[in-house]
Amino acid sequence: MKRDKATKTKMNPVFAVTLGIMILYTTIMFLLIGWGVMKSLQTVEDFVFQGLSYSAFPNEVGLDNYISSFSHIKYKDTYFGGMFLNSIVYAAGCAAVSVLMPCLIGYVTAKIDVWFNKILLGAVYFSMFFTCYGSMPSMIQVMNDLNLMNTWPGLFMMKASFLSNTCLIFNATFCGLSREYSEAATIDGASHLDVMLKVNFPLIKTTILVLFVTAFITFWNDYQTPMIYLSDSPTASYGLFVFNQSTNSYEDFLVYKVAGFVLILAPTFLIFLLMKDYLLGNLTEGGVKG
Amino acid sequence: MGRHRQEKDTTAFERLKNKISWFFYGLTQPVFASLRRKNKGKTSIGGARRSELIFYSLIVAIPLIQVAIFYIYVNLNSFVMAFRKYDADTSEYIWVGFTNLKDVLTEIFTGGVLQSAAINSVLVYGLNLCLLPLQVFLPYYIYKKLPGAEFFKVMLFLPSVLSTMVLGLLYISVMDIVVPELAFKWFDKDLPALLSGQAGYGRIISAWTFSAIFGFANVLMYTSAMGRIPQSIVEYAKLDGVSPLQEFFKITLPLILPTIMVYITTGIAGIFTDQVNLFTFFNSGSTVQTVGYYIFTKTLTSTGYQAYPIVAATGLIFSCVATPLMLIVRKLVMRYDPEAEF
Repeated sequence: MKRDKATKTKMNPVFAVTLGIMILYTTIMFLLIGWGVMKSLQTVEDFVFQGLSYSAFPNEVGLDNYISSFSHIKYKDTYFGGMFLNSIVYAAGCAAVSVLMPCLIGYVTAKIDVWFNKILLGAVYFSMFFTCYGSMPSMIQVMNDLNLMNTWPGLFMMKASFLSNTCLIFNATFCGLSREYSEAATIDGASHLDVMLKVNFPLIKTTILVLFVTAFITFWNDYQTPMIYLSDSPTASYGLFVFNQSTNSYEDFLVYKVAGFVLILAPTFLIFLLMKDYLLGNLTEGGVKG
Repeated sequence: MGRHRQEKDTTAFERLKNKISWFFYGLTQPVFASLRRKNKGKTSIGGARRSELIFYSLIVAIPLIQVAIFYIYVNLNSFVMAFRKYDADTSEYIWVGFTNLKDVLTEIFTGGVLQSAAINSVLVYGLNLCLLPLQVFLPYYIYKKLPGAEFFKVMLFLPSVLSTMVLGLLYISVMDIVVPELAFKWFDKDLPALLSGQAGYGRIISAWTFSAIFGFANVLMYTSAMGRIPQSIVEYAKLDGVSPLQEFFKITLPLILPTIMVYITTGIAGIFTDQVNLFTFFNSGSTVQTVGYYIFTKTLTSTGYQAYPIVAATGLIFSCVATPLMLIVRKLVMRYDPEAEF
């Protein structure tokens, strides 16, 4: 508190301009999301009565569109409810494997001193700097050859890579942990697996949770990967994207589409509200902390 | 008496025997102890290390197999694919040498779609760099805890949580329909669709505007870097009468320079993957393209494996451009690294 007072900075013209830019940015955000929420609450009858006006304020509002969107939004025999379930499986599954693999590699490279660690961590750095564009056709071919295309296990296998920034975060986090706990557990007769699962992983559970939630949000919002590798089981984002493209001419679908948009935004927004302190705290205090 | 003497003799004999056995015991003990130490050292430490290595191998095996198939093999296959052609009649790939690369290069240098896609990609990166001063100064406002800092921090982070696809579709609805409708209603003015109605660079800049507005979540990484600057440095500067702007240019900016450099360097890797949300806005039908959009839509709309070799060749050529470029830029920016540890 004292430090806050001591470091308090006075407003000057440059800061005032910055404040103006941020107010403008916030206004655009509110207007965009506000417009979406407003239209999603407008009843279909009112929308038609107002001459299919996109800009008019609704006279009648209700939650009917949200319920109706589950029966109206459909793609490849899957209704919006089914798409939501697919989204949960896709986001949770991919987030789990994409955090687990870097976590395992981060752990062994931090705790077991082997020359091979240099190769593993070197591969992570290499993959970050060397970008091979246009490898998607090759990936599709490999997935087809292995009969993994359009399958959940195939998608999870594809995403279970440790070649990411997450691996370096885990490595740094495990390096920062004291070895005393592990040594005490080993003296008590714990196996290597016990030490890893029952001693070290619980010590960094916040880091694991934050990285899992971040990955979950990323996969929840991703619609291009399911579009290519899981086209028979559309997720909510992918299904709604295709539904939106295919029904552009039907004006009366607007309210359902927008209701669908709001429904897709809702889970990640709720997660953000619940985990705001973790997500923002870790971000502003310098990296993800355990 | 005789019995007593016999007992005494026995005791003397026993004592002698004990002495001899203790002498030999004394001799053997160090030998046994050293052997025990040697063996103990060999079995327990060696065993522990062996079990540690077995554990290591078991943990590392599956991730390595995954990388071998889905990274190494996929990329090698992509490289080989760039030199082949798919024969639809036989459903097999045939070797065509440098033909694909030649075709792609011809398209780039003779004003084809790929040339404009490459120019657009570089233009988008340039526009992103133009935003850099603002992207660094906004976090400074939050770092200095000026009015509304906490609220703006949440607002800046929000786009990274919400679906870009959904925000993009809301954005195109507002720009193409709502704004022209309001312009007509309020000002009796006929406006074209502000996004779809644009062509050429106008469309790219309209699409980029969305990415710029909703890409501000990245700026919070600078707040993170600024948060690590020791308070003592800032307080010393204040005692010397440094103004907030001087503090920004003379203390904050030099100390967060490594973070900015990482942003610039990694940004190069993203030049040829950035789709600027063109696919979200226009599906696969946009005439104005970036390299990222071209590669994605060409793969998506390919009939079977037909277009794959050309996509692989395009990717190979742009990888050959981006990788050295990134290394050069990295080397250049490293010269300005203050190497300050804090």
